[in-house]
Amino acid sequence: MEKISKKSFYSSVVGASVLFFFLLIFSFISAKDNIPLLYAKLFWALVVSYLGFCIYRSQNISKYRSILFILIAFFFFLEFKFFRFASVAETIPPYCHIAQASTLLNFIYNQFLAITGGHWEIWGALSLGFLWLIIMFTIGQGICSWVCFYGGIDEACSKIRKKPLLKLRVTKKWRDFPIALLIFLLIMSFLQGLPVFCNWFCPLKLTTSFWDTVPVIRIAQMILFSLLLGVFLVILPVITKKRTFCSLICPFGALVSICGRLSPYRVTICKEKCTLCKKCLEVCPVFAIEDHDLKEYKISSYCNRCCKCLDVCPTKAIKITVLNNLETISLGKQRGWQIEIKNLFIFLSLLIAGVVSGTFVPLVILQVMGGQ
Amino acid sequence: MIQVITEGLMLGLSTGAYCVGVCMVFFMPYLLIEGKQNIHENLKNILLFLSGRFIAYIAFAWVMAVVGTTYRELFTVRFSHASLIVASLLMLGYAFIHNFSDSKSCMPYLHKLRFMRIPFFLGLFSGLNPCMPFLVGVARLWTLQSVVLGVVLFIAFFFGTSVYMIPLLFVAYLNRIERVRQIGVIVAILSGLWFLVIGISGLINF
Repeated sequence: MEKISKKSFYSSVVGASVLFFFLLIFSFISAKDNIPLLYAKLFWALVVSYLGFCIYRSQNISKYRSILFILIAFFFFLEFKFFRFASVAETIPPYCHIAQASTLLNFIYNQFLAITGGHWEIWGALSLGFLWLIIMFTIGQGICSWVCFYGGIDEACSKIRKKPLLKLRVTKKWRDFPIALLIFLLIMSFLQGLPVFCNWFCPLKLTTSFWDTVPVIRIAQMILFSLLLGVFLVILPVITKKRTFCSLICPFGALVSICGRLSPYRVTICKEKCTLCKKCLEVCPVFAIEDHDLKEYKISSYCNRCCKCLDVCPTKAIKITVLNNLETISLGKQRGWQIEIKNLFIFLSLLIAGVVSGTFVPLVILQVMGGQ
Repeated sequence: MIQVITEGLMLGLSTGAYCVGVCMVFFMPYLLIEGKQNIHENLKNILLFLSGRFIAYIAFAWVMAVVGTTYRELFTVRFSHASLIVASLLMLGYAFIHNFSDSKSCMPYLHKLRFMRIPFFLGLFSGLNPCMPFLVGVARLWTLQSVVLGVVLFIAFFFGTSVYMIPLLFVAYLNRIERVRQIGVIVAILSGLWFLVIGISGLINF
């Protein structure tokens, strides 16, 4: 058994404590006078911070990230669909970033109307738009592997089998399909003034009232919803161990792959250290590693920062760096204190995941316990 | 006359963003696939597309003004949906043939399609689509009770909406990247399928 070094234990405790401190502030601000909700938020902050401690302590990022990611998806699913199974009131999910991506033009147009109409106070960019910008400037594409509930469902299904039944190879052309779908959805949603993704492509709409009144269209919608849910969100992830909905359908992932470049963090492969063993290529759940004529591997902008490749690389050739390949930041030269860029990224990802999930997970916990 | 021209221009300018939105779905993927790196070639393609739309507008306005409201539904619903189906099939055919352009069996067809001046036909058939601004123009046309004024209204409407086509000139430059061209093919297929369904369901519901 590996001996636990005191230094890494203490630095892990410090990292997790700082994270808990920030989540604590968020809990106090958002819970207001609701004491049961405050306790639920504190409990959730503890869970997130503990998982953060495990990541820092073990340096096994993908394992504990995956636990948090799947938990968030599970709670979101409960909030979205719990009323179907239990006698509780139907709740409206706090946000759906995928719907937002495909209706971005409508959103911008509405903001324009709000500003020109003098109703600047309902200007959405001050709330969700602002949050989205913060995420893009910090963890960027990381949102897809640390926060997104769809990704969590996809990941949960991809974890069911130990080994893939089918090795799925995706060409560049098919990997770009989500971008084409995004362009199509942006134009169609704007033309129709409707969220076309929600009406036609969202697998979670299978049990809600988004269906059309015309029977033929209802049948077409049902077929598409079922197909996307069954094939891309469940069957393919189970048999291939890849996140097929995220990589082959999701329009939000496509948008983030473009806007996520605003984030300074990059996952890079060191050419000198890389032995071309293909392990990273095999574990990447979103087909983001490209092999250039089998001479070198490159990480594309579709990388979700799930960190699986970092964990499996035998030569530690894959790293999280900032733009100019910086790997560490020195805090005190005399004492030799350093912060790894990787740990900074993990901290920000956990903080954002904790804050976003903190808006609905504590409510679901209370609801399940019969508190609300 | 001046009032009708002003009305047509204003209608085109005020609803053009929506109107071009529909036409853009047809023409933008084409430009992404076939756009050239010089402004003359792209301008030529856009002018071809616009001339297709221009003829569609004038022909439609003339027919509408002559037949009046007697065959209203036949032209505004059945005919326009049929035209949408033709435009969709044209685009689907083009996208599929382009997608398999490497295969020997598809090459001759691709050459034929290029020779056919696809943008003109895309403009012609998509110009007749049943979009809301177009139908508003038709409603105004019937109140004019004059063939000449009806045609003038639609010519002015055409120029009003065409202003919004200018940005398309720059879209073509994106296709320098092969990846953008591939994305253009997929968008063309998706949009073609979508409008094919809309056209068919419009005809069935009629």
